[in-house]
Amino acid sequence: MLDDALTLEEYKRYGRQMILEGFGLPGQLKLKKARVAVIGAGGLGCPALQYLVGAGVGHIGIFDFDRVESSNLHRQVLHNTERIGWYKAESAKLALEALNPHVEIIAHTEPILPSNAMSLLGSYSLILDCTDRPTTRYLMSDAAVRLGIVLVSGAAISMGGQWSVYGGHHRAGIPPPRTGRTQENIVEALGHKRRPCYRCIWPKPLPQTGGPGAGTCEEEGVFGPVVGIVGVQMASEAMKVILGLDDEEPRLNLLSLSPSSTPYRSVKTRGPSIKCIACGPNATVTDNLDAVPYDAFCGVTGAAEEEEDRGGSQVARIRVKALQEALTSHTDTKNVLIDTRQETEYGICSLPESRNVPMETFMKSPIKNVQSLLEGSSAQDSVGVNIYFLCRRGNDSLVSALALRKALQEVDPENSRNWQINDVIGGVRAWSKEVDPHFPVY
Amino acid sequence: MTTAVEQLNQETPLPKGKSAAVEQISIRLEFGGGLHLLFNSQPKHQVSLPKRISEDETEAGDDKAVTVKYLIKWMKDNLLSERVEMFGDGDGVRPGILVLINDTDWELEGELDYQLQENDEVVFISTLHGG
Repeated sequence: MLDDALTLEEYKRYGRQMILEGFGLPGQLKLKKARVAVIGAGGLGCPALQYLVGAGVGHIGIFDFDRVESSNLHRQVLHNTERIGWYKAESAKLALEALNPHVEIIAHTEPILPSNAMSLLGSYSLILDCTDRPTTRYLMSDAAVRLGIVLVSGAAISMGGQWSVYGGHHRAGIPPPRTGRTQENIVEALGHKRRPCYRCIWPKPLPQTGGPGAGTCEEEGVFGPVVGIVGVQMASEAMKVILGLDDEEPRLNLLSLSPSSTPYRSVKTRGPSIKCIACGPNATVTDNLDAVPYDAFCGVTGAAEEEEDRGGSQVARIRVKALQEALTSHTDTKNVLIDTRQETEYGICSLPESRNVPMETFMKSPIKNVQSLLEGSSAQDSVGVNIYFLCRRGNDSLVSALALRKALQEVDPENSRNWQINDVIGGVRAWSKEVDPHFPVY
Repeated sequence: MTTAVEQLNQETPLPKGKSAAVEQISIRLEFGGGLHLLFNSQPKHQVSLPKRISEDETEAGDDKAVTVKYLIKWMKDNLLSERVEMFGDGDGVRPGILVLINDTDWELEGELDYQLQENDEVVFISTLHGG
């Protein structure tokens, strides 16, 4: 497949875009020559890939080590029910080859890590970051800076999204891949302004201590169309960069599909930062990306195990089987089962014995919340109560249980109320797995 | 258009003890990337600030025009409905939050020292990671 000419079939196939102003045969050949790495074949990657491949971007690498699950299908439009369990990279490749046989597509199913990013991406000119975690986002930016190529980075969650182009030079097209770079083919970037990198705009990640933005699609939910729009916009930015039709100054694009928010903004951002540790004059990030502490920088630790320890010594941690026994046994001790999930999640499925107090509400006044649950019951005196905390997977419930424990210790260190605090390990997920297989997993 | 206007919060009054004679300016605020959850789940707010403030930028006065530094402190004291560390960091905002003044990165506008004008729009955006 030669990259410097089109077949007759391709003239016909790409005719509708080739007649556009600024496109033409040279534009189509630029797309055909381009080598684009798409990292993540999920909610952003699927629509981005569809448009890149449809438009005839000649060489595409799809990187994703994840497999297709049914909970992906509402937004990850290249996969289908039949291919549940397939590698996403291979499922996407199959769909894309049916779309356009003129494109070379390589599926990579190994994870991209600091140790292999430079070699895996060395033959590409442009990276689309369609991943879902901060560590990979910083890794992709650093790799793009070190390889001297362009990064299109996008993200979406809940009802909102954002995307931007980082690295390289405005309106200078794409450089040749590092592996194919010679003195002669280096793109003349003189007179073109350099773009900031991801670190210039976001020098520090959002602290992983909870709060807006820090969550995943699984925790916070995601509206299918929002990742669709952002993914398509990322494909558009990539094609415009390749064609030299991109913005003349750095911009960050913001999308919100929430009612009563501004639906779309394109804002002017700062340029490259002289303080940037990746692309600044005193950069400390080198080709040895293995030396960059991505996990520590983004606050990623083996928190789950620590938490198990931390909670175990302060509140009783019980399995779902023990909760089932407590709920069905007939003793004089009163049980209160508090489900700390969001109201919407609680409305999807819940245990009939449970009462819903979302974690945020509960945390504001733990004792008062328990007290008001007790008031409506026969145990007026609220002494001698077994309190159980339950959530989706066992994290928020533990936080709530510990908050109640702490509040009690302050006002009633002797525990004269005789409140026994229990946290249910594994949440309603574990309940479905170990107690009631008919209980929905969402 | 009317919908958007209807959605705006009521103008928030000045904290107690301020004289009604203090000249005010009106500022539009919007929160993106989920940050509205920290502000009573309202994406848009319209607030009134004193047009001029004291030298140390903590209260109304007649030393200088009102700044973004004053605005952020005012928001922490009057508008924030969740824990302060979810939003603030020192005089500014915590890492991962970008501030936009009239659709421009605040770094290009002087950050905390930017002097607010009548009807300016200040937007606070949290970085997103999902995909």
